[in-house]
Amino acid sequence: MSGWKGPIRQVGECRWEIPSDYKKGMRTTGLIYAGGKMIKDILADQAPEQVANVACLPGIVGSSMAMPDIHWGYGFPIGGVAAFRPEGGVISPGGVGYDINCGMRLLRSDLKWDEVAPRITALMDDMARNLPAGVGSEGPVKLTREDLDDILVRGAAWAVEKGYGWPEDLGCLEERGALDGADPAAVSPEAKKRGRPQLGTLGSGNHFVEVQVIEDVYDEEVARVYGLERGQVVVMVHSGSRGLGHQVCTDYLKVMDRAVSKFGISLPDRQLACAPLDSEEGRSYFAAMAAAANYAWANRTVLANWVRESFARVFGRSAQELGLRTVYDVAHNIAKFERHTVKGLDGRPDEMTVCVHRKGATRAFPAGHPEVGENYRAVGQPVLIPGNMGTRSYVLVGTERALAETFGSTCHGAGRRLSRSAAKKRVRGSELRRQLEARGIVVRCDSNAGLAEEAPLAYKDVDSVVEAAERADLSRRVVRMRPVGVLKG
Amino acid sequence: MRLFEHTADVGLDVRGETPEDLLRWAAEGLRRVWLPDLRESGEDGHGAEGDARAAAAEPEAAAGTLPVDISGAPDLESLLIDWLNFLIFTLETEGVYPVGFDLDASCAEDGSWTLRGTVRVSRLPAARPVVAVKGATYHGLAVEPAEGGGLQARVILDI
Repeated sequence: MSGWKGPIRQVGECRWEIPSDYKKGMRTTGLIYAGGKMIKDILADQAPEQVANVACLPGIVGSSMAMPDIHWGYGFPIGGVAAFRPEGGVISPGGVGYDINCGMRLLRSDLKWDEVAPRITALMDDMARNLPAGVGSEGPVKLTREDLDDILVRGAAWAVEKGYGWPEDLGCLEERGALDGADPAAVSPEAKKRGRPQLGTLGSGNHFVEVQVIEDVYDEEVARVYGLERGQVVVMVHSGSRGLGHQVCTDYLKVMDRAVSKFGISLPDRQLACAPLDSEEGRSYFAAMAAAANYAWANRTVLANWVRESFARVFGRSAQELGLRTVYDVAHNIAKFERHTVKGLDGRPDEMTVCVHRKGATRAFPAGHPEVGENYRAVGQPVLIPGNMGTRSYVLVGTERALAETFGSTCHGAGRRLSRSAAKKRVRGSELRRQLEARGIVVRCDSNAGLAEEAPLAYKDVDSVVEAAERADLSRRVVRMRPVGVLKG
Repeated sequence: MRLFEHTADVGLDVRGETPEDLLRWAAEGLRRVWLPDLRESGEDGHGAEGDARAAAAEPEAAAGTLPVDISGAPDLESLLIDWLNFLIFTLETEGVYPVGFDLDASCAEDGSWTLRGTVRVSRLPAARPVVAVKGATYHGLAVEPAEGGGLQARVILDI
């Protein structure tokens, strides 16, 4: 596939605009956030065309946007952000993706690296035994049909009530770990069949648990509020709604594919299939998507519980004594109704509810925002950015500029640069394993091929992505972590 | 049938003499994504114990047959997506993958497609890591007449 040849011009610091007259059907401009060097890579594939395609969807508010970790997806680009009016706007499963509410959780600890280093191998071995991983993996949590329906409505609160989390965790989760409007009746029996045995499982692909050490602090005040400091050991968990979410996406793409002709919507890409937000199809998808999102929050809560168990076993102290508190939990793939100030039809600022789609993007609300929990409201919401297993990860904080420009959104990770097969041609998993271990990173992964697919060289430079997000003032760096232990799904 | 690269995902280019043939080759492509040949996957088989165990574990015996009954697809492209998603669902819930097919695809007067028949399946090798496929997408989806006869299709899988 050759590079993208459409028109694009720089319109500000790390801002690149695709004009609304680039192609027939565009209702607004495209806006890509990226540094000067990064934009060349971005133009090498068809991700900008996908930004332009999203600009064709009915009822879009503001620009069709892409964060600095943009890469070619299907339907929406990965890194895509778009908002739609409740009246006349649409909702699209292709704007959320298959892994609904794939996201990140960060646990902090009172442990310093010198305390953990002698036991890191034992810790990773214990977690490899304790966290079910792999395709279709089943967990030890046995759910009745009623349990599953309860999870689909209450999300993380169900897991906390059953003893898989701490009550104080809930205040540290986006949406407190449950999206309103979920309806188990909107979720198919097939999706429920996939979801019932999988709660508390990591999955495969790019899902992981990583033990990390904070190696740099950029904002001491915000880091202190988040409970983070230099030399401290933290744990990142990356997983989502597992087969249940995949099936919800599959089911509703089919529904939306039929709805497109019913509602006379013209699309440049069939994967952008959508329905009006105020239609039966649109409402039903939102109810099912919210249910899957709630499953994902419950899943990450249970996974965090397995992490806490492993730490307690290996260090001979309870998770509470080790200070393994939740810092935050963010969704990467989701559609949500949020209040934002946008340009009204008369051109003046107007506060309204819009449906924000984030596909491979993170909410990044600033200090003072009412949706940020009281614990962090004075400084802003933590944004968790995984790099890749060979390099660094970050905690950022949301900004006012993001709220004003991107519906409070920023990047979600490094973003892929190479296809999985291209990565495997460049590096053998067995060699990569040796390289990582030579650098003191303990790797637990059953598959060398799977390891190679997620090799650091397959991803963009996370430092450049985070730097672009900061230069664009979409988020600011708080701390940087380096990996010391990787458990890959 | 061949696999092609996509930045985050993988695509299938498939040819078949008939719709049934096309669907059979698409299923074979899906199997190759799930269970890539160890040499093709860039591994030497001497690295992680998981991959080495896998090499010794194959092949597995046939586990049985599953009925196929897919209806209401508005076009052949949709039938292809429904078929692949049926196989993805079956792999995850039953732990089996397809190895043989007895399929009958038919097109009704209103243009809608139905697929009926059976698929012979094998159980996934216990020790073999399987590449996850989340779903078959409509992105860039095409089924069209092939040069020289028959049909060709292109479909991208989300992995």
